[in-house]
Amino acid sequence: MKDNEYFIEGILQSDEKVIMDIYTSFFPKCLKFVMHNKGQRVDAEDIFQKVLMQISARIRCRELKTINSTFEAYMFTACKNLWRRELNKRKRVTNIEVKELVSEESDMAYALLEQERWELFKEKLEKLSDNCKQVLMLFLKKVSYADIVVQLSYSSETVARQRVFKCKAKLIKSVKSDERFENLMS
Amino acid sequence: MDANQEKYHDQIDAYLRDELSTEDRALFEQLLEKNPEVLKEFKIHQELFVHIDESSWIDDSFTPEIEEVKEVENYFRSIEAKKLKDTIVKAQANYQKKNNTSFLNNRLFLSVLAAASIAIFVVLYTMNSNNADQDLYAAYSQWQDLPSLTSRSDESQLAEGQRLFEQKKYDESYMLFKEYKKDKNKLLPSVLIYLGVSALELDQYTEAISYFDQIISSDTIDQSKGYWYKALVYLKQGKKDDVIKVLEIILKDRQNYNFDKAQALLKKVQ
Repeated sequence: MKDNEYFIEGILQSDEKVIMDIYTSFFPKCLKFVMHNKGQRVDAEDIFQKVLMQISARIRCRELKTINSTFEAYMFTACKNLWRRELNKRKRVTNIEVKELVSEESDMAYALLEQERWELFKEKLEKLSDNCKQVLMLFLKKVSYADIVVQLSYSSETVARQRVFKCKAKLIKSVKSDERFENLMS
Repeated sequence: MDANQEKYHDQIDAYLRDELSTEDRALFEQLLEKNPEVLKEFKIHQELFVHIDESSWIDDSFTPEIEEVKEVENYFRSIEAKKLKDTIVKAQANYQKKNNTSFLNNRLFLSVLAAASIAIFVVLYTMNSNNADQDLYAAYSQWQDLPSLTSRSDESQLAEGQRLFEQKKYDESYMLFKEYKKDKNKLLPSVLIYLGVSALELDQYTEAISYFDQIISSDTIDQSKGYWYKALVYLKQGKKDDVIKVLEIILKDRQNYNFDKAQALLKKVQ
């Protein structure tokens, strides 16, 4: 397998051969995901193209130095998030509240900054203790406190509530204290 | 977070976890409108929920700095970005061209492909079944078993007809038998068979059928032969249903001509 450097350099240099390689290696997975989630082939093509543009922009004018996970994992996550965003947009459009028209460049800029934001939260969540992560996940998935008590063997709902409160405060604090948070916050 | 915000924590949680009554939700939304500090805190919480919820995205709860947006936007408008976009478009087109199998993922193509393969299957199947009928016809049209007409050698015309028939000169044998028929008002089944089979070999199906029908309607012991040859006419034409109908008539009586063959043929046709 070619390394991340090969792919990233290829994108930065607009190297058609490398980009072809990227399509061959990573597009099918993105396509499958989109098609399994209310999308069409054209949607997957559009999303994939934007992910590649996003990588270039993040290295050229954002802080991204390199991709630390495997290139495949990065591509897939970015593809998934961009499609989630697109579906959310469509949902909103059908729900009367039409957002004002924005240029494609502007929309892509928002998508990029949202992706960075998403990574920030993900990273901070991962840094919590397993115990905190567990209880927060249940809480955020709107599982009732009664069920949280059972699932995590807490002695009472009060204990569970305290635990959630502490872990959530910790997570928010760590997000807020990150310099990227202020940069990203309006 | 300060005490003031902390005061609203439970309410924020309850709101985001859909635990509030309709009235309480409305009250809380009013509070958010009036109190930007609470709103700020609410948005961070809301974002946490959205990060976990795969069916939504953070663009409702998170608004980036406008300067940052502009900066990234300018990159996307740059010459470098345009060049990259062109390259990506080209690469994508080439990828699709090279990777024919990728077309297999295209739903439209798949359905067209499916329709096409069904059509091909149907065509091949009918051709095949036609071929199968033709093969069967070839196997059952062994005319050397036909009764000899030479025993009636008093009529040299018939002997000549049979000879031509055996040489597969069906045009001539057919002409000759037809000549012979002209001045007879009743023909022996054996002669009708030669007539009919000659017609059959010349693909004159209607005539063939009419001769075999004459055999069927005759009151001779060879009457049932008419069914057998009629079946062969339909077989050659690939009219499967008609073949079956005629064979079923033969199978009504063991005494009928070629009862066993009819049984075998029926199985093969079905």
